[in-house]
This record gives sequence, C-alpha cells and structure tokens, in this order.
Amino acid sequence: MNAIHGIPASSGIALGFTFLYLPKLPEVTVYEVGNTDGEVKRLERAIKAVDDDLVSLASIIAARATLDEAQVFEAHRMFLQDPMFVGEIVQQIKMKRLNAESCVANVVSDFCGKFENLEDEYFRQRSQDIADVGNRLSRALLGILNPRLDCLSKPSIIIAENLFPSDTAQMDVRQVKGFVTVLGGPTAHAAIFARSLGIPAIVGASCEILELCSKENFAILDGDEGTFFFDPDEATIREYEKRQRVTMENALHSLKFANQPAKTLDGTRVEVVANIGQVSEAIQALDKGAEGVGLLRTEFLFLDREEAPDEDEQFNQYSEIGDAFGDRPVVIRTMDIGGDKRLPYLTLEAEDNPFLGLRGLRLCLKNPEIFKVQLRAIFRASVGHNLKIMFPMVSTVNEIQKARQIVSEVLAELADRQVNYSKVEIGIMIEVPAAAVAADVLARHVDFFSIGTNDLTQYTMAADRTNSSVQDIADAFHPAVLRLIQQTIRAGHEAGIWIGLCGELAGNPLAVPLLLGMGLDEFSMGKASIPEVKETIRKWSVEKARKVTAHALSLPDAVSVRDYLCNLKPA
Amino acid sequence: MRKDAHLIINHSSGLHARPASLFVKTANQFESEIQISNLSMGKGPVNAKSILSVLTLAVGKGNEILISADGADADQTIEALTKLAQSNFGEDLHQ
Repeated sequence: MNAIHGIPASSGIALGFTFLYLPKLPEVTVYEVGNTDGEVKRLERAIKAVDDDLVSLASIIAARATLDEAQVFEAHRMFLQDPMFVGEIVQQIKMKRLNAESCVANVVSDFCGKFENLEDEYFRQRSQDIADVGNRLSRALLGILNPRLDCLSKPSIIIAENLFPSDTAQMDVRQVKGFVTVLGGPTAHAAIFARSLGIPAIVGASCEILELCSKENFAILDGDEGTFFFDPDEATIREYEKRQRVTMENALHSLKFANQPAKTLDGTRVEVVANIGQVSEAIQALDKGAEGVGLLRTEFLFLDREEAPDEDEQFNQYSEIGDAFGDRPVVIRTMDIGGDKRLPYLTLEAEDNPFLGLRGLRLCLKNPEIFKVQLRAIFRASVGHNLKIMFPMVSTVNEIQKARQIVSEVLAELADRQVNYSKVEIGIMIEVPAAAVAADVLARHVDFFSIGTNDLTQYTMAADRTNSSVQDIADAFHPAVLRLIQQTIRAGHEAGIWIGLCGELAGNPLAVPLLLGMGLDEFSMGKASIPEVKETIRKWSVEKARKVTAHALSLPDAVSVRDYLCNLKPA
Repeated sequence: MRKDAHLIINHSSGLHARPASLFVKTANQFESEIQISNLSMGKGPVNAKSILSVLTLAVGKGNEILISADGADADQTIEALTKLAQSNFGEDLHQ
C-alpha cells in the first residue's frame, strides 16, 4: 500500500479502480510509402477529423466555460490550416516518401524546438499547443481514439496531471467517483468542478502518483484529509468502507432535513441560500433546501456571445429565476467581468494585473450603457419577486454613490416609460480589504453586505488563488482574513444592515461555528453543501460558537485554526 | 509588385493569442506573399500567413516589425495589416 498526500479539494470518500488520464504521444513507427498521393489524402482526412473534433469540443466548452478557454480550440484549428505546418508535412511525405504520422512527428518536433528556445514564457508554452495538435493528428492517422473521459468502462477514480475544462467538458460524470490531480489548487477548475458534482477530489498531489498509477489498481481517495491510498490493504479498505457508509448515512440524513430551517440549539435562525450561475441550477438548489439565492452570478448572460444581451432577454432570465424562488430572496450580482475576459461587444484593454484592474463595478461605471440595461432588466423583473441587487468589487464610498446615481437615472427612465418596479434592496460585495477595513463607512450607504471570501483572501494574503505554489498562503482560515470578516459583520450590524457570506468558506462545515460566533446572518454556498451546512448549524449554539470564534482568532495561523476546528465537539 | 512597412506593436500582449490570430487571418485574405520579421529581436523573416511561424517571432509589446508583401494586391495587403496594428487589433486605446 502506498499513501500519497495532496490538498483536500472536495470532501468525501471514494473507493474504486484508478484510471490514469495522461494524454501522451502515441507510438509512431517510420516506414516508406509507395503511393505518396494516397498518403497525402490520408493526412487530409485526418486533418478533417481532428478539425471536426475541435469544433465539437469548442462548442461544448463555450456552453460551460469562458470565451478564453474556447479560444484555445480556435487557435488549434488555425494550426491545422497553417501552410508552414501542413505544407511542410505534405512536402516531407512527397520528398522523403515516408508515412504521414512520422512526418507529422518530425514537423511537430521542429516547431516544438523553435518554441522551447524562446525567452518569453508565454511563447515557450506554445510548444504545448503544437504538441497537443500533433498528438491529435497522430491518433487520427493511427485510428487511436483520443483519451477521453466519456467512455469509462467502469466507475473510476481519475488520476491526472491536470484537468482542464476540455477534459471535464467531455467527462461522463456518472462513471467518475472522484479525482486526484498533480497541479492546481483548491480553487482551480478541477476542484470547483468536483465540489459542484459533490464528488471527492485531491489537488496538488505529489507527481509520483502518475508513475504509481500507470497500472490500474484498486485505490482509496480520502477527500476530507487529502490522502490517496494505492493498492490498500484489507484493514484500510474495511475502515474506509465503514467511514464511507457513515458519511453516506449522514448525507442522507442531512438531505432528509434539508428543507427544515437552520436554527441553532439556542434558537437563532440563519438563512442558508445558494450560489447559482445558471437558470437551470435554481430547481436543483431548491431540492437541496436553498432558502433563496445569495449570489446569482450574471456572467453567464454576458460571456461567449457576439452582442450584449438586451433588456428583454435579461428580464426573462431574472424573472424565470425569481419565479422559481417565489417570495424567497434572490440576490443578483451585477456583471463581474474584468480584463482577463474578452467580450466582443465591449472594449477591454488587456491588463498586466486584471485582478487589480478595471473589473466588477469599476468596469460598469466606465460603461454605464451596458450597466443600465442590466439594472433596468432587474428592476422590471422585481415586480412579484424578491430581488436584491449587489455590486461586486467595491473599494470606496464614491463608487457606491456613483452606482446609486445611475440607479436613480434608471428608475427615472422606467417611470417615464410608465414601467412598474418594486422596492429593491441594494448591497455590495466585501471582497477588497479596503472595503472590509472601512466597512463602518460603507455600511451607511447600502442595505446589506455579502462577504466574498475567495477574493478577500487572495487580496488580503497577496496570494493568487489559482497559483498552486502559494495555496497554503491563500487560506481563508488565516486569522487575518477571519478578523476582517468579523470586523465587517460587526460594523454592518452596528449600522443596522444584514450580512451574508458567499465565498467557499460558507459551504465548509468546519467554518460554521466561526461564522455563527461572528453573527453572520446569511450563508450562501454551492448547492451541494447546503444540507450538510444546515445540519451542522443545528448542532451548535451561538453561545458556544462565540467562544470558538474568540479562541480561533487568537491563533497564529491557518493551520492552527483548522486543527483547532477539526478537533471540536459542538454544543 | 512589392511593398514594405515598419510597424510598432503596441498591444499589451504583443503578437500572440488574439492579436496574432487576427493578424494571420487578415494576411490570409490576400493573394500576395507576405513576410514578417521582428526587427527588435532580430528574428525572421517568416511567412505571415502561418500562425505558428508568426508565433516563433515572439513579438512583444513595443517591438518593431517589418512586413513586406509581394503580389498584385501588395498595396491593399500592407494597408490592411497596418490598419489592424494601428487600431491596436480592434482594441483601440482611444475608444
């Protein structure tokens, strides 16, 4: 039995056979061909097949991921039309009279060599793209299927160096029990994807796992502790089967009570609501016991399209979500886009530091026309629904005042058009440290706060949450982040407004006593976490939780906070 | 007919990703043979209709490039590519 450790990215336990997903160059043999014209035809057919494949991958991705990710496939398609690439392969087939796949391998390795010698990191990385296209071409020529995750023969634990949106897009999720990746952090695509499916996952595992799993074998994935056991012994299997059974029974139990309110032992009721990013998620969130929506990400309306969505389209989408939730609250976050995204209908300058650039509300204030369309649509949809508006990426009071000015203009326009609207609460995300520090000042200008702990953590700790080398630093359990959260809640309550939290922290049962102790009013999370978090809240009293919070905030670092919380007994 | 132009690439990401693919797509709309060199880095010339070749020039922000077109539509070719670079690849800074 071998044990491998990594970062726990999605909780739960999986037992099953491993499936190593490692797209590699197929074996290419070199042989002479008599009919070079026939060989060129064979190459052309392979190019066509790969191109068709890329088109279908791009369309799957466009529906799920961002435009940037879909653009990767567009670039790959351009390689297939490149005269110096395809031209060179054809030339070699004719001159050397060698088989197409060996010529493909030659030309790909020439280009890789050219890219690998470049100084600039970005250009050097393009060798990966050409190698990827080369592999696809070779596989098409050899009639080997691309390694895919949509045709797993049995339920498996996927082991991979990394899982990109292109991999998860075509994954048959019914056959995937969990996954372990070598790269990435807990907020990387693979980790978020696992949590959204409610399957266990480990990221940042030691790279020896790839060698270890080169042969299929039985394994155990412990997503709670971040441990992976390859070829476990009988005793370990029995122990984990038992733990898995207990976990499943608990999950079933939580689900049974998912629709009951989340009330602490001493009678404090908190709201447990969902983060959603698609209309289709509304019903699933309700099934899991969501008491409303604490964060509706509206980016799905704006990405992957040529023109901005018009007022009617947005009105219909907001109304549809409002209908699903009836009189329960739905907090709509206005467009949260920045320089790391490309929108064909909006001029966005590429920035060196898009996460410190023109994004969220800052971008909307510079583009009031797009912003106004969204606000009009929300106000129109407010009739008969309990909608609230939330602005992302706010740093100063001045930004709130400007946004409120635009809201008044929108309301005046609607009045002119004799369109009805209801009263809509207006709040802001607290995700910039400056906003948390000055929360008492900001609180006077809004109806509520929602703390976005993912960004608040990366900005406070100055650690990129997508960079796996600094994952241990970008931890929301660090007392510095927790103090900012506490300070924000306190300042909000003193000003008489309610406070929610919509980052990953809200969906982590470990954080429940901390947040209860701080007096959080609304917990907003991915739908899969709702039943368990509700269940955990019911086990605590606010009185006991306050003591936990006080102690946790006095600890020196994130590791000691996590250790302390792991060993707590509620009530 | 042959025509040249010297251009400075001001796009913040240089000639890669979207700007590179726009450049190559535009080049492919013309009959002329088009060569491109990165004068700042002393790389090239390479075929401007080949995305892979253009990427190997590693044109960064502020680099000077030389494009030359040879063919019946050389004038229009150089004009279109110059316009593209000057508009900062459709992301005009002054818009």
